[in-house]
Parts: sequence; C-alpha cells; structure tokens
Amino acid sequence: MKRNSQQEELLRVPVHMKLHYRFPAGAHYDKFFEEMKETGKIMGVKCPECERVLLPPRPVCGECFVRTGEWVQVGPKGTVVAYTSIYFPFVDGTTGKPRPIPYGAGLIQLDGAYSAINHILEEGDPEKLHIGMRVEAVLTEEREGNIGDILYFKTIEE
Amino acid sequence: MNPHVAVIGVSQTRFEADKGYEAIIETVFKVVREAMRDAGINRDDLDSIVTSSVDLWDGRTASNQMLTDVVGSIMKPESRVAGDGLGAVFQGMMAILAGASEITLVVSQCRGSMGDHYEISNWVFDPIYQQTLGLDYLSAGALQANHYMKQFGISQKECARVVVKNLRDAQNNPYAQVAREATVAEVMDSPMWAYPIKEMDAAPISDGACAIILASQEEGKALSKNPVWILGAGSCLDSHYLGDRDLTGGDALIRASEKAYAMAGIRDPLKELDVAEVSAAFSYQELLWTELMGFCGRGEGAKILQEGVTSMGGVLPVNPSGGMIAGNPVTVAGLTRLVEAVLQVRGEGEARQVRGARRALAHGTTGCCGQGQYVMIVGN
Repeated sequence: MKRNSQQEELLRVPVHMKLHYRFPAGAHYDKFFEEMKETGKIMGVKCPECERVLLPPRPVCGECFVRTGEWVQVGPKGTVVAYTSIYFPFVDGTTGKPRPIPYGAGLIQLDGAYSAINHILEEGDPEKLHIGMRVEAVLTEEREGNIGDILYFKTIEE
Repeated sequence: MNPHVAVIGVSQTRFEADKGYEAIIETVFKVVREAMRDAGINRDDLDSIVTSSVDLWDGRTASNQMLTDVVGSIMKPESRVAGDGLGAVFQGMMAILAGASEITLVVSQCRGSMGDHYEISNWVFDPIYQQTLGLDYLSAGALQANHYMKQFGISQKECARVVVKNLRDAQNNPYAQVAREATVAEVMDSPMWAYPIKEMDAAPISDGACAIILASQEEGKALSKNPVWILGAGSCLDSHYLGDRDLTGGDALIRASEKAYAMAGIRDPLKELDVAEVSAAFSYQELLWTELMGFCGRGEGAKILQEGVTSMGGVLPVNPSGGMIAGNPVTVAGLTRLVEAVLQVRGEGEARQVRGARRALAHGTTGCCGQGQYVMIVGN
C-alpha cells in the first residue's frame, strides 16, 4: 500500500469509552436531596469552628479540618456572584436532552450560605445579566431527589 | 545505617465489599485523622501530602481533587500518584529527603465496588491492540500463572495452599474482608475464571483506605519515642508490553528488592527479615514474588510454603494479615502492606503479631503482572 504522508492521515482508531459506576453519595448528599424532594428546602451545613454554611453539604470543613455540624436552611433567594451565557450545546445530565442555547449559567450565593453554587439561570441574555443581581430558585412540581429538582434560578425584583 | 525517614503514624480502614454506606471523603477523613492521632500531630504540622488513587476506579478525572478537604491539603502542596500506595510513599520520602518537607501524609483510597474491576482493568491496556482482545488483570495474570507454573512444575493445588494459609491467617486481622478456614479442595472446586486461576485464587473486590505519616530524621526523633524507620527502599519498572517481558524472570522485583536490601544492609533476607507483607492479587503471585525477593531459590516458593517457612511461626511469615486474598482495594494494597509491616515492628500486630519482629518487608506492585515493583524494609 502506498501512502503519501504529506497528504494522507495516519490511522485513527475510534474508541468509545463506556464504563459503569455507582457513586456512593454519602449521608450529606443523601439528606440534601431527600430534604429537597420532600419539603423543597435547600439545606447547607455549618462548620462549628468558622461558622461558614457550606454548599453542597459535606461531612468535613476543609479549612478547619473538622466535621461539619448543624443543618441550616438557605435561599431560595440568592445573589449572582459570577455568570456567563452558553452558546454551545450541552446535554442536560438530568433530562438527557440538549438544553436550548443560549442559556445562562452562574454561581449563586444563596441567602444564608457561604459557598456559592453553580446552576442554570433563566435569563440567557448577557446584556440582562450582572453580578449582584437577585435570583430565586424555581423547583419542579414533581421532585426526584437530584439536582434537577432545581429547574433554574429566575431573576427577581426586590 | 543512618535512616533518614521515619513512619510515625499509620491507619487503615476495615476492607469491605461495599462501603456504600458512606462517601469516599468520609472514609478518607476517618483514616487520615486516625493516622494523625497515631502520630500525635495535627493538620498544621503537615508540610505536604501525597495521595494515591486511579481515575478510572474513581470514575472521574484528576480524582484526587475530591480529597482536598479531607486530606488537609488546602493551601499546602499536594501531589498525586496514579498507582499503588507504596509508590506514593516513595514520592513522600523524596519530599523529605529533598528537605522540602518535614512531615508528609501519604494516603491511598479505592472503591472497588463503584465500577467493574475487570472492565476497568481492561483500560490499563493499549486501546488500539491489546484492549480490543479482552486483556485485563485476570486474563493477563492467568498468562503469567501458566508461564511460571509450567517452568517450575508448580501445581494448582500448590497455589491453592497460598489461599488456605492467607484466609486462615486473615482470621487474626480485624481489617480483613474475607477470613475463614478453607481447604485446598474448596479452592480447587471454586469456579474456573481464567485457567489456571479459579475464583478463590483471586483477591476479592474491596473498598478501603490507608494513611501513613512520614517524618524527617529530626522530627521522627522529636515526635516519636520509638519511631519506625525506613531502612531500605527500592523500586523498579519492567516493560509495559507483556510480550517484551520475561513473565517469570521478574527482573524488576529482583532489582527493587536488591536495592532495598543493600540500603538496609541485608544479605540473607530469609534470615534477617522477621516478617514480610507481600502484594499478591492471585495465589501464584505470592509464590513467585517470594522467590524473586530471594526468600528461597527459583521454583521453591511452593516448597517453603509447604514446609511452613512462610507460615505463622515459620522462619519468615509471609502475609500474617492474610495479604490481598483477605482484601484488595486495588491501589491501597501496597500501603496496607507497609502499615502492617510498621505494626509488626512496633509489636502492635495483636493476634497476627510475629513475635519479636524487628525488621519487616513491605511489597507493593502497580500495573499488570507486577510491571512496577516497590520494596521497603522497615525496622526500629
């Protein structure tokens, strides 16, 4: 077989990587999603030393290297601390369907929380997004106990 | 001999088939805190951290990132070894020997229950050629098993005795996942997986974690009344391709162990070592590794086992913990061997203690069929 390496590409082998996992979510995610599903509340955990309310909730405060303590309800209102508008297609992990573009994405600091969490913003127009804007979580009617229970954060006027 | 690095704290979890009752970070936090408690230090005392885990077993990329909070590495230097935990100890030792760190945490974790062990181990191999043909840790191990057993005339029953010994001794190990009285007949009757490896010849799939605290000579003496010293250490890699290696020759392990013995001033390991913890994922490997580390002549691993040399009460007990046959969270195996070796030298082996143990060997391996080999000698 003659090959002209200047013009022809060398062999490329298509490989599809498919592996299966069952992630152990742990007690904190378990309670977080159960609470969201049953009551619609968004819950964080408080570090007994630095008193930061951490989201997503977790067993350990990494800064203080101690176990986190009491559960604290946060939000559903919060403040956008960073935002973007996404112009490339993204398959929504919770629905398996592509999300219409452009859509907004942000880091939202829920009222009462230290950590800002990333989520989808209803507003996708970068002209209408700004740091410091107020938003509120919109939850689904039928909740399944996963992060898709929060549909998005809508812009609110206060 | 003037050892430079001490092990001042150790901790291990119980190995279990499924730790789904807690998050990985929960398991790791417990084991790290316990190692710190054992060493009498707190997070502020740590200068650096080395973690060991493998992305495909963790189901995410750069999977050490999930451990930042629980290994105490916020605002500290952390490096990660994508392989066996005993290999990570070499990384930790280097930080101390380079003078960059006085106290270093080394931690390894794996959740065998999260994915499919052999499906994942298929991804160890070249995806263009080897992987497509179904090579994984089991089938590759079976190739090595036959290569070794044919060369020296070792029978399946002789390999089965390794399983019987290790499962029996594992009953003395509170951290073991599998431990019981078993018979050679039982091993022989267990389902054939890949000739000549049967179900009971293979280590189980396990969840678990291990942590140790390393210290410089100065800190080791200051923090610990009776520190355990790393007296010798050797590591060596063989070719990746199985077909490029002498599968039974084991040059990598010969070189790694000779290096460790030379550093520790050991001439006759059988006489001068008191106990050895060896990483063998399959029964035949314990025989092969003990030969390559010079505990006996080539082809004599089964013979010395039969004579009781490597059993509890023998000249050089191998795997009083039960070894990997008693529990096998993949990358954690080598670090577990070191933890066990340290406990032996401290005299804290409880029911599995080898009386008067002063020098212990820990062996780890990474990749397929012992491609990477690590040997450490610890002692008072």
